[in-house]
Amino acid sequence: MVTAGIDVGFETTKVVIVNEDEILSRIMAPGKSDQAASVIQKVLKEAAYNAQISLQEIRRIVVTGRGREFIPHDLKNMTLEKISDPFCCAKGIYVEEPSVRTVVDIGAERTMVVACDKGKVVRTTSNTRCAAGSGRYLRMVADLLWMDVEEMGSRALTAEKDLVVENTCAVFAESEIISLIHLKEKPHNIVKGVFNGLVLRLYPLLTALKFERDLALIGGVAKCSGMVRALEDQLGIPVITPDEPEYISATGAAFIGQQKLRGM
Amino acid sequence: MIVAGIDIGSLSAKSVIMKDQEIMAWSVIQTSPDSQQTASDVMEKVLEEAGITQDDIGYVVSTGYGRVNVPFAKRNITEISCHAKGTCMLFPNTRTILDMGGQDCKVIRCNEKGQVTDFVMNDKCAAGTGRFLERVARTLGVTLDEMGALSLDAVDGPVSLRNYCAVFAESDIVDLLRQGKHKNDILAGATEAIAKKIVALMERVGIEEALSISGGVAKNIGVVRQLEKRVGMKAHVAFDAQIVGALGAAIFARELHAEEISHNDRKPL
Repeated sequence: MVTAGIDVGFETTKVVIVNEDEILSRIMAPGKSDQAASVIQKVLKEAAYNAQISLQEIRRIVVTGRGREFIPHDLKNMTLEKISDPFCCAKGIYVEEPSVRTVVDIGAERTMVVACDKGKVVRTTSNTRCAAGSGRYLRMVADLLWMDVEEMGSRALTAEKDLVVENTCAVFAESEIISLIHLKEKPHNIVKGVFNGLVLRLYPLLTALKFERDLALIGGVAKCSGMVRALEDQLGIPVITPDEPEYISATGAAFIGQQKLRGM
Repeated sequence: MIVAGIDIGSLSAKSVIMKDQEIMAWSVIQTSPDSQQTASDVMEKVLEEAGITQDDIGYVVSTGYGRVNVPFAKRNITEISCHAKGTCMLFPNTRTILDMGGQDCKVIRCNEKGQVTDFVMNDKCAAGTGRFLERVARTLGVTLDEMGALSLDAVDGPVSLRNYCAVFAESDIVDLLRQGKHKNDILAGATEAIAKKIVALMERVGIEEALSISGGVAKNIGVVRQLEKRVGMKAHVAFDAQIVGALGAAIFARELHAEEISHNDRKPL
C-alpha cells in the first residue's frame, strides 16, 4: 500500500512516496507556503508519475512543515492528515539513520532541534522568531558574496583563518560582512566566519536539549560541507548527514502514514 | 565663544555649531565607510552654513559610534551623556529620553541637571531600530520621510505582522502585499510592531514624565504617535530630532572650553 508524505516548508515543498518500506520517489518544488495548496497538487502528481503509480493508489497523505496551516484538510477528494514537524523528523531520521539521537534541522525560517529515540520524539526545541541562524540568513550571505549556499559550504573548507561573524542579528551581521568585504577579507574566510557564527547561535539550543550522540544535520544546509565541519569542530563529535537531507521530514510523514494504515 | 559638537552615527553624521548660548548652524550628512572623511565633511558643511572657518572654533567634542575617529576633536564623550545634555537644554523638564537611532535604541533616565541616572540599550537586534523601518520602507517602495504620515492614514486599519524580526518581517510584508493588503495598513502594522518593541525596552528602566524623543526615527510621526498612545503621555520632539546628540556635544564643548579658559587665566605669570 502506498502513502505520501508532504513537507511544506517556507520556501520549498517536498514530497516522498512510499510503498510498504520502500521509497518510490522524492520530489521538491519551490513555492511560498501560502501558495501551498496549489503547489501540493502539482508536486504530488509529479511524484506519483515518477513512482509510476496513479494518484488514486495513494491511500494516505500526511502533511507536515510549518506551512501546513495554510492548506485545507481536503484537497480534491484526498484527505490530508497533519502532523507536526518533530514527529515526522524523528520518524524520518530513524528510517534513514537509525543510530541518530539528536537531529538539527535548519530551515528557511526556523531552526529546530529534536532529541529522538527509535523514531519517537524525546524532547524538542526551536527558534522561529529570529532570522539569525536560519537558512534565510545563509541565503542573504550567499547573495552578498555572489555564491550559492552549497558553494559557500565548500569554499569555507579552504579558509586559512578562523573568523567569527559575531553579530546576533541577521541584519547587523549583514553589515558586519559588508565591512569585511570592504576590508578586502577573502570570501572563503568570510563564509567560514559565517558558519562559525551560525554554530555559536545553535549551541544554546543544543545544550538546552542536552544533546546526545549520534547527531545529524538535516535540511538543505546539511549539503554545506563547511557548516558540517564548523559544527563538528565546535561540538567535538562527528556529524551525520543523510544522503537526501531535505527529505527527512517528508520521508517521516510518509512512514507515519504507513503505520497508520497498518493501524499501529 | 564658538564651539562645535560632532556626532558620527552608524547611518548619518551630524554637526552643530554654537555661539555662547545660541545654535548658529547645524548639518546632517550620510556616514561613509571612512569615518575620518565623514567627520571632516560634516564639519566643513556646518562651517559653510555658519559662514565661519575652522580657526573660529574654540573647542570640538565628538560623540556617536565613530567618535574616536574625529582627529580635530579635543574630547570624545559617549552619546548617552550627549543626548541627555542636548535634550535637557531643549526641554529642561525631561526625565526620560528615548533615542531611536539607525542601528540601536536607547532609553536614558536623567535628573534635573541633565545628568544620566540610568539607561538601557538594544543594539543586538534590528527590530525596534531604524534599520527595521528602513527595510520596511524599501520593501513597500516608500521613502523614510513619507512612511510616518502614510502609516497614520490606514485604510482598513493596521494589519499585524507575524514577526518582529526585521528579516522575517520583510517576507511577511511580501505575503501581505500579495494578499492585496493596502500598503498604508501594512505600514500601520509595522509601526505598531516597532512601538511595542520599544515600549518593552522603555519599561525596563521605567518611564517618568516628561518624555523626550530624539534620533532619526523620531522624524517618523507614526512611530511617535504610537509610542505616545502606548505610554499615555505626550512627547517632546526637537526641531531636528537627529541633531540632539551633536547639540549635547557642543554644550559639553562650551563647558570644557570655559573651564580651559578660566584655568589658563588662573595660571601664574
